[in-house]
Amino acid sequence: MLYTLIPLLPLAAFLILGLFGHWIKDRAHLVAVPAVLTSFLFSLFVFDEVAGGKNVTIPLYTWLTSGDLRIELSLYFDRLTAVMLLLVTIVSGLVHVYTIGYMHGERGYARFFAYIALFTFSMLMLVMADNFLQLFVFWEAVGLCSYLLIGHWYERQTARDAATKAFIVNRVGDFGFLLGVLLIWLSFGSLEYRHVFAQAADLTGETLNLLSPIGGTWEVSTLTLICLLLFLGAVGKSAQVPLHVWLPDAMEGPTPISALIHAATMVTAGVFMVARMAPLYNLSAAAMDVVAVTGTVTMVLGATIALTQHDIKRVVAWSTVSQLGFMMMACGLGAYVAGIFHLLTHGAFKALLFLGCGSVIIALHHEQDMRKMGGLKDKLPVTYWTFVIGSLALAGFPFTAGFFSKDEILVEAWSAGALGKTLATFALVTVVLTAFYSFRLVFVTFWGESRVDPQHAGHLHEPSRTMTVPLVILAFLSIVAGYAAIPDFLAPVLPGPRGLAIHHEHPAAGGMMAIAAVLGLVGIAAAYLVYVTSPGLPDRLARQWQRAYRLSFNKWYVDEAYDRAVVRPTVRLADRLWTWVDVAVIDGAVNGVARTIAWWGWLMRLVQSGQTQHYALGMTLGAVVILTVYLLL
Amino acid sequence: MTFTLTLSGADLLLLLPEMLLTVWLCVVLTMDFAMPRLPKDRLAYLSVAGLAGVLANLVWFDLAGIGGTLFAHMFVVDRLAVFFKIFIVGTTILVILASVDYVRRFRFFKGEYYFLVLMSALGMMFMASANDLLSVFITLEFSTFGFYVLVAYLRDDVASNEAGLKFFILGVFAAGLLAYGISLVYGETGKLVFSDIASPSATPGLVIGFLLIFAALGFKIGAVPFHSWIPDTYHGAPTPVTAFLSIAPKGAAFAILIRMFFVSLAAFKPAWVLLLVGASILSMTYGNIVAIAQRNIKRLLAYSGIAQIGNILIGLAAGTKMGGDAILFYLLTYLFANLGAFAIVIAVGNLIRSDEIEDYNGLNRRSPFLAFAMLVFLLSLAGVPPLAGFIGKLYIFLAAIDEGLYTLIAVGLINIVISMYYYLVVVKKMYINEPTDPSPLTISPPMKVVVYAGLAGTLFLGIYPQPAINWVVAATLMFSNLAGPAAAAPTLVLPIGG
Amino acid sequence: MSNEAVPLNYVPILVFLVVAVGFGLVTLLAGRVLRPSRPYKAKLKAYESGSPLFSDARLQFPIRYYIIAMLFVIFDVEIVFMFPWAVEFRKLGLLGLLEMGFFIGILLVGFWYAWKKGALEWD
Repeated sequence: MLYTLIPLLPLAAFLILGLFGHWIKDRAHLVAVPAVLTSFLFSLFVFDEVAGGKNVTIPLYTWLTSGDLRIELSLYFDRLTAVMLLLVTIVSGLVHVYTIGYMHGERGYARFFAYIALFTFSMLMLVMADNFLQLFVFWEAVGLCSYLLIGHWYERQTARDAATKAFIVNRVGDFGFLLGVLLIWLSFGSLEYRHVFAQAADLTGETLNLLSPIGGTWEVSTLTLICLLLFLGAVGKSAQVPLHVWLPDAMEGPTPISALIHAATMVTAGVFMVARMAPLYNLSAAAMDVVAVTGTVTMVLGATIALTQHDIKRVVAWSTVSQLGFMMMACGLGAYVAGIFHLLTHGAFKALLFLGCGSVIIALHHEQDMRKMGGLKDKLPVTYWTFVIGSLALAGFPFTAGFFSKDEILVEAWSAGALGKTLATFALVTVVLTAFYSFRLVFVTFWGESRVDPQHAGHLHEPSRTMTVPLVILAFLSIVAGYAAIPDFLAPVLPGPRGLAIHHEHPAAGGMMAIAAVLGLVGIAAAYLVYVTSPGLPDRLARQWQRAYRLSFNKWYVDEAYDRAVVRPTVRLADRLWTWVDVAVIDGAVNGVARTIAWWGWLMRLVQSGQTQHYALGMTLGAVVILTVYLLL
Repeated sequence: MTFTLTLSGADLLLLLPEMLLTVWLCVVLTMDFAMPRLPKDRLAYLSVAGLAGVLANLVWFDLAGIGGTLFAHMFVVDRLAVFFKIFIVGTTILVILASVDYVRRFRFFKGEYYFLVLMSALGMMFMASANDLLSVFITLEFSTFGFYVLVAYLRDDVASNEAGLKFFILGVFAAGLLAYGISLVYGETGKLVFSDIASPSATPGLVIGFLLIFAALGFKIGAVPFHSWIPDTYHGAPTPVTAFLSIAPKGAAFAILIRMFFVSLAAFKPAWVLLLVGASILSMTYGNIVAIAQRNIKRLLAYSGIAQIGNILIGLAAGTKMGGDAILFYLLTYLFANLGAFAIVIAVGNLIRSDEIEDYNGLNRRSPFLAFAMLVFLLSLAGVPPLAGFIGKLYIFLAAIDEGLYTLIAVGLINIVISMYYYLVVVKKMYINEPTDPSPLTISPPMKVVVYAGLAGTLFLGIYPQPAINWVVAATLMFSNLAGPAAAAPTLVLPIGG
Repeated sequence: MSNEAVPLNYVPILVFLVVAVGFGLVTLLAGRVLRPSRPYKAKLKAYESGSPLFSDARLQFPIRYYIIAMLFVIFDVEIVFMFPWAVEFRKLGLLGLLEMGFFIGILLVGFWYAWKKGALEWD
């Protein structure tokens, strides 16, 4: 019962707010906040239960059965679920509280709470899924909530297509995911995790001919294909290259949503999924390599773009893209435990950074351009100090949570063969970049001269208590989460391809720790040098490295490429098909009938001499022609 | 051939729903002209009451398992027929409720409108029971005649006249193809009843005959390349007629298609799978791509309907019992979502006199309820869980993957992505754009009933589909012997099509 | 059914048709070649039973004709159904009588409708 209530409480909050929102109005938080906080308490209890090594499956109801097909909605709890539950309920609870202040007096206050409660429910169901279809359904449902939340509360007039774009790009990923699910159904005859995982090893030799419809032969390992298709879904949801384009645009939504959905929970679903499917991925080295390389590319790309953006939220968003790539790389190299560990710490400090951005944005009356900020550290002390803690964690500063989880990944990656060493090197470069841009953010926003619009400069003040308290709690978590023995806790449920993960005993561990720490400090120092000591330097650098700067500033032109290669041709094709085929065919057909009749009329006038025997002759001739044609053929 | 007219009371019972409706439509017509001062809205409610009686009758048939054949097997009542009749009658009830406001705008023949709708419904009920080629022709024409008039109902509107003319000319052409196809099949086999036709060998005449019949039915459901009448007709026809036309005849035609392919042609499955796969791929891709270019919501829904038909054809191409289940279930989800979407179009059209997508700007500000309902319907059409459309698509894909139709599934999934785009364009206009005229919109009670019914159906079929699945599984039990993966196993070789 | 047999059986008919058509064509052609051709206006006019033409045959005439014609066809077809029923009246019994009553009842509703709508009034 307790287990079932974890998702049901947010669902109940959603239903109450959805149906009676008209009457509840600005008291909506009184419904949503207690619901989510109670879910959090129950999650703690569940954590305690499964920590003892107990796995629990609670069937809710049979969703559909037809023939061999049988799909149940069930709740599945193991250690991985337990830590995810904690992450979701903590961040969601804090974001709920933060929203009270952030959305205060806005239109649709109750509806907003309804949607984030629905999101929380869907996300909880996603992590508790015990079969692929349930995973997929809530995978889509979180996307839908994200769509509704971006689409209904956009903060700026520009780029209103963000929500649409996010949904469609995700659907491209889901295309693969659903195909993967169908292939699992075909190969295993079941969609339940335990059946599929139990039979997975039997499928290792099986292949599938992809070119059979056109008569060719291209045998592909079924397992690899399944893993890659599922990964395509993760690429969409976790904003990996090449489907990363939606996440930064999703920043058009309100900031609490960015913190909850686009940093801490939904976007990490892809990483979670790969870790959950570890028993499948471990059997396909090729798929793992694809995951690792995709993750690395995303990581580097995200970090390089974050260097030059001016919008405070977009910098954090690109940093999220980069960090998700980092986690994905870890999973691809078999370091699932490290990946999930980083997912958890990242959830804490990235939510913190976003909520900090939200405070700044609210204080500046919805100004998001860093060039119009500066000197805020005295005006917004709580925001400033918590933001610094979040940035330190992001930069991997020693003894913050990010430091431990990053180090965990680096060590694991370094010990994962030649590919691991190569990718770990890229990761080390990214550490410098990450430290640099996160402190660029701190220095430009909070230090130096104030460039705030004089209109608002006078009455800058710290936001209300409901907004600062979540910041402080998250800052606290951004430090202590690293000391929790999460890797040891998770290791038994997430075996890598080479058996159980062995982390800190690795000989390279100490060295890697030192290198990562030093590189992080180098990045911070560089940011200090560039943005504090010599303020003219950034412009000069940008001019000197113009080409690189433009590439980064314009996000590697990926959006433009998609627009040229996909969007515009499709729209043009639609237009052409419509005017050339349909309009031409239908009007042609109907006018053709008229024209044919006119033509026959003309022909008839030739024949129609008023003499009946001519008609009879015509009819007979027609009959002969038809008969002859039939007989000859 | 000798005909004997020996009908018992039990035989007549099978005709009870149709007879009830016949009597009722006479009553409606009589009331219309005999009581000229009766408000025409009353006729709508009168029609709905009659249809509700027919529906109750059909539900009783379904629960009691009443069935049999009549008139030398021309007319069959089985669970499949009853399913489609319930589908048609249910659609008709909702369409009539959605028409009440719209009919007030007509200048002439307000009462006859309801009569013609009932008449078409009657024709389609017979279609659902058609069990030989002759009754296919008669019932198909019977149901279409009503539509010819209904499409051209707006006498003063050029678009409506044009739509009616185009629909008529092409419809008559399709009827010609059908008649020719039937005559070829009859000439080759000397048989008309579906189960008798099941011929051991495919002669050229038989192939051409069935191709022509498929072309005529393809015209009816609007599958590419027989779809060209759909956009103009949907656009020009009065919107409630468009809504009716986009759902009920599709269901009725699928009843015939299922019988034809699963009964008569079961043995030739390898030969026709490719035909259906092709029609399905073309319909989905063409419908979805062209929908992107549309500026008018009715045209958009017309093209989206073509694409949806392509999806349903996947189930036909699977050619198994599960494929049949999936078709039936998909039709149910399509009924609620598509009718719901059209109900919104009718409601908005009544209020602002426009069907341009531009005029949906800021609908959320003007009527949050309408905007939300439209959002749900469009997302269901796009197949987003947990709405009905998702289960429909999933079911159909599962049926197809069991038959190894990977290419078809891949194309279907890509099409879902494309369709997302134009559905979301409408949503974006409703929610994000500013309205040009911010005055609030309110809708009438009968319209509300339709929208609520659509919402309830769309949510219910998505969240708790089991009752509906049990129903469709029972309706297609007669196809359990079709070759599926289970039947293909060596222990279970069953004679098919014999 | 017997595919090979079909063409052979029908060949005589084809021959007959060709001969018949050929005969007609040859006769007409022979006439055209042999007869003197001296056309004048009265000779080229369409033959209307000897009375002089007064207007073009393609003219608009009142829609009422169509309505009357349609009503005629409908009730004419009714008779087609009634004849076999009348012949087998005894065998079909009460059920047959009821069915015919149902059938005629439906038609009567249509008739009543046409009457009420004024389709039977000339002006």
